Amino acid sequence: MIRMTGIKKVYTSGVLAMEALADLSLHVGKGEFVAIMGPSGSGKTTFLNIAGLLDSFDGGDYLLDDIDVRGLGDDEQSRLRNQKIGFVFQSFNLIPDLDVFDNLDVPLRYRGLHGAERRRRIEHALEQVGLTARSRHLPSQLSGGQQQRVAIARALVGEPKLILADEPTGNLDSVMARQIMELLQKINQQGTTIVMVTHAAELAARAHRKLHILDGKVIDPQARPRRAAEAI
Amino acid sequence: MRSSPVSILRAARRSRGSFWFLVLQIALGSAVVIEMADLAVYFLRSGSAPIGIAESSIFLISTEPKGDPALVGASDRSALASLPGVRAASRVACPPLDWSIVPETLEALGQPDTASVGWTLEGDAWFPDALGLTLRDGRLFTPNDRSDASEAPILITASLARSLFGNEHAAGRMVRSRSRRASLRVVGVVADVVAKGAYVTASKGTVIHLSPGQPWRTQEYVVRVDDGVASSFAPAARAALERIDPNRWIRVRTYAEFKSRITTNFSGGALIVSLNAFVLISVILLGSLGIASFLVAERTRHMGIRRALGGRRRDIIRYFLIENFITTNIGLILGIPLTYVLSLFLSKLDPSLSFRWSIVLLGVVLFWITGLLAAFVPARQGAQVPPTVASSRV
Amino acid sequence: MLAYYLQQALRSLRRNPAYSMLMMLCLALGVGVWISVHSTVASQARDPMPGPRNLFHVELEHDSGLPERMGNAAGIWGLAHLPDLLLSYRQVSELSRSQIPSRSAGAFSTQVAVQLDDGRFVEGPATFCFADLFALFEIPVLSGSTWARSLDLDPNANVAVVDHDQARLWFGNTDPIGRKVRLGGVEVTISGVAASDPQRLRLYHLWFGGGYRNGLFLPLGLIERMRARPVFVFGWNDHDGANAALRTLDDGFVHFWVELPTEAQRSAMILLLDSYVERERVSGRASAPLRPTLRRLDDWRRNAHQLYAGYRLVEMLSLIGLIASCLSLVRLLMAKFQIRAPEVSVRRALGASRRAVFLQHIVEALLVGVGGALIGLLFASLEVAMYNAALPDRTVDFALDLGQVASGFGVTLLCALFAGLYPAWRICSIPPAVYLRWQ
Repeated sequence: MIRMTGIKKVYTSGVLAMEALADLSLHVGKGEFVAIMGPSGSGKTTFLNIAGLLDSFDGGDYLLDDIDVRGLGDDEQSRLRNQKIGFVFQSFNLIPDLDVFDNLDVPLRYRGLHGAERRRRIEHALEQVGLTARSRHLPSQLSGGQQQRVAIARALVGEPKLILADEPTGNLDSVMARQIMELLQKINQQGTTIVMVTHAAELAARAHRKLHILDGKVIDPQARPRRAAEAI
Repeated sequence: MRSSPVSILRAARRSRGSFWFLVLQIALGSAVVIEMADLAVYFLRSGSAPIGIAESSIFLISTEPKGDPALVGASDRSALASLPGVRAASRVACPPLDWSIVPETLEALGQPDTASVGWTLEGDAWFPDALGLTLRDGRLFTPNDRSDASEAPILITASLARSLFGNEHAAGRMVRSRSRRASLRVVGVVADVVAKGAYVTASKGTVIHLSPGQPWRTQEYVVRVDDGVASSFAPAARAALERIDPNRWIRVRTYAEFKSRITTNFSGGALIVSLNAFVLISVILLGSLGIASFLVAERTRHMGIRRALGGRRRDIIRYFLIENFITTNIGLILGIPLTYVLSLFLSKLDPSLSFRWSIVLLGVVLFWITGLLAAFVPARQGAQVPPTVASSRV
Repeated sequence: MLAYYLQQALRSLRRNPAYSMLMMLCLALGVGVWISVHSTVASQARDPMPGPRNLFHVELEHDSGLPERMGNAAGIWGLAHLPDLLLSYRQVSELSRSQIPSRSAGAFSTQVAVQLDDGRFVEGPATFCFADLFALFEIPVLSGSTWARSLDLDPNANVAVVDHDQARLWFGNTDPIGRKVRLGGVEVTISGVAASDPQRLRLYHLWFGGGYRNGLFLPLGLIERMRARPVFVFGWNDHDGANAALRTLDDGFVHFWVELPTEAQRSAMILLLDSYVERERVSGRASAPLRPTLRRLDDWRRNAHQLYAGYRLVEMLSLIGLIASCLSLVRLLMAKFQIRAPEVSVRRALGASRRAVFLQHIVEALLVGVGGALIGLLFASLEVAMYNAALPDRTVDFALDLGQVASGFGVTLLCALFAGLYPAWRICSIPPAVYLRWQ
């Protein structure tokens, strides 16, 4: 699903240049659930931005679902994000003045689906996360766990092949965190590839395999997908 | 914790486009507002320039006698003159601010190079007294003066006397009017009085001719009264005229009323341009208030850090005020050349509308006040930010 | 997709109504000032009698000395050339004897005192003219009739035509025809009622203090008997010896128009005027003209006097003011869009393309434009009403007609579009990663 080879990313601010990713290579297979770990400032967020086509990179190759994303225009990148990727953020990133239904509606709108189809998908996604009754609530009227389920539903609603998640349970208490992890595992079992960045070892333990990023590099790039899957 | 203007400017410029949009807006806005103010002042001046007579105690009376205008006119004048409180009453053919224009180019007899403009007033022998003109030299008209004499007598104003004769004695000199066949004798010089207002550039070079009265059926009288009777004079005058020739049209008004009627368009023009200038300043004020309050919201954290590091409220208000002041001034500096260019267009309309620093200064002060006002309100708001906000929002 | 952008833009504007109002107000006030001032120019520039016409204004150029005296500017109202536009009563009566023009009319307007048949005195506008004035300026006579051409210069004529609206003021709803009124001791009988369309006349001749309305129409010759005083007289001092009667007839205050449909008529008229000017010059009068001009009616409206110059200037200033208002809107939009950067980044992550973000924000700016246009036009109509009240001495009634409302709306939307371009471009070109908070 993700095949990165020698990805480089340099941030420049004035005369200072900071290398966020240095020669990062990794491979995530279809249907995998991969946890990525690393300390603050190791380049995890930069990796997520690049993997999610939210930021450009300065060197290397990136194949997303066998598509070479280098040199794609904004329109194609946006379409890829829209169709292939779902994002789950630690801070949920729900649009505060859109209700649950309308938040889920956003990616479908940009896909240009017609009304009935959008409604069908939204209802299906809400059913999956168990929030059908809350579709007309605003995010502020929901608990943290509910908000994250909405965010996951929004990631799911476009039926993406890949979900990128960053500390999806970071803002939640342990009960809710478990529910969310179970939800993600369920989604993974239905065939969606999940790449999750986390600090927490107990969360990472639920993944098929763990990768470690340090100083902008994956320090165990040889870890084979298959072997990791067997580790469970 | 003090920020130097240079560092504030650098910070303001970092807001990329926004800074230059504001500068450009102030440049355009100030140029327009300054020119509109210039126009407003011009209109006000044109409309309310004093004409050299006591406007509220001098009356202009119009009537249409049924009988022979010349006979009724003479009786009317005598009746008006004998009313209590009346200083002088006259029949006039061309009173001050009359619409009629007679082009007169006068020159000292035999000296074509002294040619000067004279705007015309015409009335009977009592006319100069009815206007309350101050004699400077020579004499006023007397009942023995005749308008059809071979050397018809005229009075000229001090301004006209100066341009015709320089510092020489004017009384008794002969002049020629290019539009009249006979020569004229200057019998006296009076203080300046304006003959034309409103749509004609006011000039103090006035020549007063003796004339038997209005050649039309409409008769006009100019009457000067004591200040004390001015308020009750109109009905008294009307009654006196009706006793002579009843059932006729009579209109009595003071010069102040007459003038305000014929200069309505000027006061209206002044009102319109100043209202529009005010509206445009308001737009800039509204915009700046909006932006400034946004900037404060944006910088709440920044303010909080400053406060946490010991910045006093005063310092924070000062920061915003200086920032705004600098931006305003850059805009004004760019606006002044534009004002100059616009004033070139305006001066084509009337040379007195040329570029004037006094008006520019007025505009600059207006924009300073507007700018500081726009900065102060949100700055106070920003200064209320408690120091804790900085840390809690990281 | 447009519906979605509209929905999102509305939501965004509703989120902070005060700020949205502020944006609309900035645009509205700028547009209001401009469109209202523009309407004063447009109202004056509009031809009340469009279409080709063979009507000419006869002008006699003089050496009046006024242009030199008044400087290049000639005053804000272009007064210096007035002596060339106005003929004397004598000149008009002499020239009108010519059989060359198909029709001709002399006229001047003034303010008169009228005694109605109930004895009341009223002041009102009066136009002393030829009967053909109605035909030449296409003023319909609603009822009754005008007078015979033979009465045009007859001092003993005793007929008048009254303007429909003026008749309402004077006579209420009763029929004015046959009513008698007195002016300056002369009694006239009203023979006809003319339609009220004063713009037709007043744009094509000079009114001084005449109230800028039509009132009574009277045969021009009546002034010999009535000696009604024209409001504006250009005195030539051709009256040594103070012959009052002669004086009134030799001063300039009358307009003269001739209808010359064929080229032959035009050439013949020019020859006639040339020889007339020559005769006048030989007479040695101060009013003797230098050369004649036949000015086409629409040319008169455009060039003969510069009444519009002041208005045009204020229009130019208000246009610059409008640009300044747009810049205000640019900054307000930039600030507003900037606040929304995090939300935009989320949308970008969810698949919104740069174009989609750009369009959504342009739609929002256009919505501000729609609101601004509505408020602006409302404000402009208040301003126009104020202009009409503040400027009683104007040649036309200022009004926002349908075309101006439409163009005002269009201009406002255009302003909003331009004001939105840069802020929308800026927000859409921010890389989504910059404002996206993962943690």
